[in-house]
Amino acid sequence: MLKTTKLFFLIILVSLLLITLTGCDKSQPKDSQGIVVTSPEVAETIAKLGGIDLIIGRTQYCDYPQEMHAIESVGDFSSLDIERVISLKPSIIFTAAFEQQDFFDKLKPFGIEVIKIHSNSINSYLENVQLLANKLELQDNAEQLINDFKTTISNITLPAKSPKVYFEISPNLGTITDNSFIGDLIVKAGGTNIFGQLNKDFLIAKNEEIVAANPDIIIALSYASKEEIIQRKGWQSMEAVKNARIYTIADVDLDTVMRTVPRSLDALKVFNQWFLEYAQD
Amino acid sequence: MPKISRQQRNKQLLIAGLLILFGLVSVLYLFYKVPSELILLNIRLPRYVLTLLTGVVLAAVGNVYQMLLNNPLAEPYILGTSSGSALFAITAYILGFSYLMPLFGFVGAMLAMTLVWFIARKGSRVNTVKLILSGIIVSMICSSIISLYIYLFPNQITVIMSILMGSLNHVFSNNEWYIFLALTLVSVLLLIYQFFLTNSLNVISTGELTAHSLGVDIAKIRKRVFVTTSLLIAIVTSYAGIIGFVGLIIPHIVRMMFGDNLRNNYFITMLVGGVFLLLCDFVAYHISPFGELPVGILTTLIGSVFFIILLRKRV
Repeated sequence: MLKTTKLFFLIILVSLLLITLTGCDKSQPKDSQGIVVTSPEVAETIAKLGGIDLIIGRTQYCDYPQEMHAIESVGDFSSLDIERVISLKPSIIFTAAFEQQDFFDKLKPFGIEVIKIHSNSINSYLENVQLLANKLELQDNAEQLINDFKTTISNITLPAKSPKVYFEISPNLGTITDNSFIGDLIVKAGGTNIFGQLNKDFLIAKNEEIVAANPDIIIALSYASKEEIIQRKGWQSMEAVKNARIYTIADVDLDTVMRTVPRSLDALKVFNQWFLEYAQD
Repeated sequence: MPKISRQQRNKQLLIAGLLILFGLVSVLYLFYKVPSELILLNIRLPRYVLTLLTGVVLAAVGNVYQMLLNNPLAEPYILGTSSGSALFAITAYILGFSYLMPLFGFVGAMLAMTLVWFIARKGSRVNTVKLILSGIIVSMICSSIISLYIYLFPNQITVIMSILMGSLNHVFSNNEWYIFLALTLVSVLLLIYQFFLTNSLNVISTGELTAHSLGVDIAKIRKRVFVTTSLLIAIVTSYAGIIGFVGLIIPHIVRMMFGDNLRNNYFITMLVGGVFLLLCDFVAYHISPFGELPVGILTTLIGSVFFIILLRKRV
């Protein structure tokens, strides 16, 4: 009796082992039909490079250009349908960093190539453009895009006097430094970020420090309106408020600033225009 | 010349010491590294008033709750008002009305209080245990909706966390400041009104049966305290968010130094609460080169150390 029970369990154990071994297939899918992109910035950049036909899956916020809407959505910015992504059998998956770090971590074990793309300056963005071009064999358009950026930047007229800029990115006085893409845009456009020299890329500023720094221009993309900012207690003495040099989401396309995309070149030109207007007074 | 006992004299010295400490901390808070007079008057001073009021109210309400609910672990947020306030404030922000956050916060606190009362009541009376349970339930409901917000809007997480962690750096608009001054006056009046309930609360804390037999109308007192404290907490939470530890520990510290009589230690608790929060916020503001630390971290750290020292001495 005991011998048959032992044999029975041995057979079950061996069959379980065999089943698990056959279940693991870590080979690269041979019949891959394209790439999946979860980052809106990467999607837009690839489209600009002429590679939109390669994309077989995107997330909801990958919404530019218009043609993106025709591509299947596998999730939104914060949650991903992992099963759907894998079943599409992409050859590469591109994600953003930080907010999409857990996508990156969850997709890694499946053996598909997952690449994180994040740009903290214009130069790093151009490097990423080159990386995408090399991976997807879209070098021709890449050269065009990179040159556009470089010529625009070298042809920019810097203002005679550089305005002190306070950039507000979130309602609780959240701001950025020169170590971020937006910070780099401000510097290249000829401005001086009052919090530029700090080490982190994002921080919550102190009310007193903003007032003490007396910025000449306020760029508030935090959904605060111009009227609200003017009404802030203690801010009336600020140059930017006295001269009403306050720019909000009504004055620039938010996506061109908040996303590191080809359109960010427009944001650069808009900032430059504002800074030149300041220098003319 | 009436003879006062050594105990009495020590208490008086302690109070005098606290008042001197209050003066010193206030001067330090207002004048340390202040860039200009303009900033002192327009930014530092409002922040000072907010911090002082918050510390005073949290300590006073914590003290009163501990007596009313006969529970040493009671604290101002136990009856759900803070979660309701946070929930509505976050909702205002997500809808795009960040300048309406204090108003929504206030409404949320009052709605949560009403809900807690109506769940726990039987006629016009409430049972303390039911009240606490009801507060816990309402808090949990609000917390889970806040978690849902975090799931749905993950890129708003820094602002949501700053509301939940509490901060005294509220940016006042000119009109808002006048409204806040009015609310501060209202709070002071409410705190004074509450003082006249302290005798009854002393009796209630000895037990319901004793209180009843001594002629105290428990239901009436409970209702009045509930309304007063809810208004106070609503005002403070809508501008400062949730700042833990002050309402829980300061009453205990004061009771260890001055005794259990609520009528006697009522104003002292407010003084200690105000000084404590001013000190914590001062450190939180100046200590880090990258921006302020959340004040809740400091209240917990500094408060715990002080509390452990006192606890060990008493034992």
